[in-house]
Amino acid sequence: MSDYLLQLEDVHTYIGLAHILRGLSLALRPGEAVALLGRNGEGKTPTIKTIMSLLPPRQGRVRFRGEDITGAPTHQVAGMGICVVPKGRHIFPALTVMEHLRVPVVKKPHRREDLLKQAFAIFPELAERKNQPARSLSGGQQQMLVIARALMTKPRLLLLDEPMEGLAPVAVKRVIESMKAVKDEGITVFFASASCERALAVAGRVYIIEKGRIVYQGSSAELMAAPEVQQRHLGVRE
Amino acid sequence: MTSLIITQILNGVTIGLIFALVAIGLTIVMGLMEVVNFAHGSFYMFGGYITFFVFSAVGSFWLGLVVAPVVCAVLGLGLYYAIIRPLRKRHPLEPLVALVGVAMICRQLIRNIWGADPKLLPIPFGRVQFSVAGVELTYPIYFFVVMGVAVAALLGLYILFRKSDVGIRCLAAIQDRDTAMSMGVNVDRIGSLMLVIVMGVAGLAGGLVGPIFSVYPTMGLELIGLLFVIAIVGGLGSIGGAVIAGVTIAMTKSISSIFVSGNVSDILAYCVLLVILLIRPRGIMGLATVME
Repeated sequence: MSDYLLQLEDVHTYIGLAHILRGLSLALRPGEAVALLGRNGEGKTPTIKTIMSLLPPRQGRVRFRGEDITGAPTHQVAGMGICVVPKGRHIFPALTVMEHLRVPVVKKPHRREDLLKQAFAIFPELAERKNQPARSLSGGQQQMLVIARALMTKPRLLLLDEPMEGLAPVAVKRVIESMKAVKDEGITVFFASASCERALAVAGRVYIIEKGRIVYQGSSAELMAAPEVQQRHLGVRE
Repeated sequence: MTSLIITQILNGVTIGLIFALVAIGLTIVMGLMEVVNFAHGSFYMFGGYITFFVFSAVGSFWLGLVVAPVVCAVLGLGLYYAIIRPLRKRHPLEPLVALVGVAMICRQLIRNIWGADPKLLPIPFGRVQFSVAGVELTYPIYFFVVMGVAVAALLGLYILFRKSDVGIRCLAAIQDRDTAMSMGVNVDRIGSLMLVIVMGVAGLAGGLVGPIFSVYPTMGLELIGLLFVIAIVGGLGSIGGAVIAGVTIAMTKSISSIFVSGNVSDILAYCVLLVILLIRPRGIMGLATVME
């Protein structure tokens, strides 16, 4: 048993014939908040999907709490305690807020009523809109909803794919607050972001991905003190 | 004349509800499995023949109506594991071709056992006499029974999809399979359950129409084109949409058949649906409102 919660070891993931992740390795400790930074198209979303087993790697291993989960069915990965807030939110447009929160499978010994209470405590705006169709919510509210939806599985590890993308500044602030609240609950947070500045507001540690490989890792303070690294891997390319 | 129109309206509602019942199953399989189930009509036909078989063996139509959905449900589970599940991730043409093959085999199988001639089931109950707006008419009680059973089945489906966890999860998976799986939902198991339910419902519908249309080997294949139109016009996975589309098409057929021949009334019915699609390209309910 390792002291890591999640490990990706030399992972190679393909989408069709395209070789997307090319020997990616990273590891998360329980309780930390880690950002996966990188420009668009470098492999952030495939990394999240690889962990979730939506894109099982062709080579390499994924370990969760020391157990090899490479290629396990997605619903089992979720059952083991990993959940995701997908890129672009992915609400179920025809379902109401309350129906959304009934989709996740609640593991024993947890009870749905308790988890609902917790979710509504973090996101009071959802409690007021329980019976509204999710598509009628604002972008920020929808983001709250999909975070609440993921929390209903009581995950040990919460993955978020670009959770602040395309939101108004007020909503970004709410997302950052809620991610901190999630971390304070003891849930490990791993999120992909193209924005360094926003990510550093939450993450204690960062990885930078480029062309499907990790090219930099360090604490947020270290990255903050290294503008040349930010420019080289995250800035606008000349 | 008025009494004829009222009779045809009642016929339209009865048949339309049956169409809706079968079409909903088709949309659920299409939405959840991303497979075009050409064999859906075969289960409707099986339902009719099983009811006929039980009736001719035991003499009870009602027992047949209970046995038919059960057998069709079991056959549906078989279809899921034998064809749909192994092929659904392949190129879309593969499951389609396989399911067309299943439909052909089913039709031929039935033809070999019972022959090509229609088998008529006697219509239970007599006729009831009543007056609507001063017009006296008589109408078979059985048609009201069919309406009642169909409405009850539709309500059952509505409750399943709107009130139960498994139904809500099924809707979620229809809208976004990957995200539903990421929430711990075992979509594969829901798929097998849905096949059991919708094929059972198709079998029930096939049995119900036995005394109305009689049963014959091509009854399923004849219906499948119409079912696809109802499914698309109604909106994928929408119970309300399927009912509106099903009743519209059946009503157009039955009322226009007073004035024109049966073939022309079929054409008219399709034209009405075409117009609906032109006005609402995403179906009556639209894809975004799946299952409302």
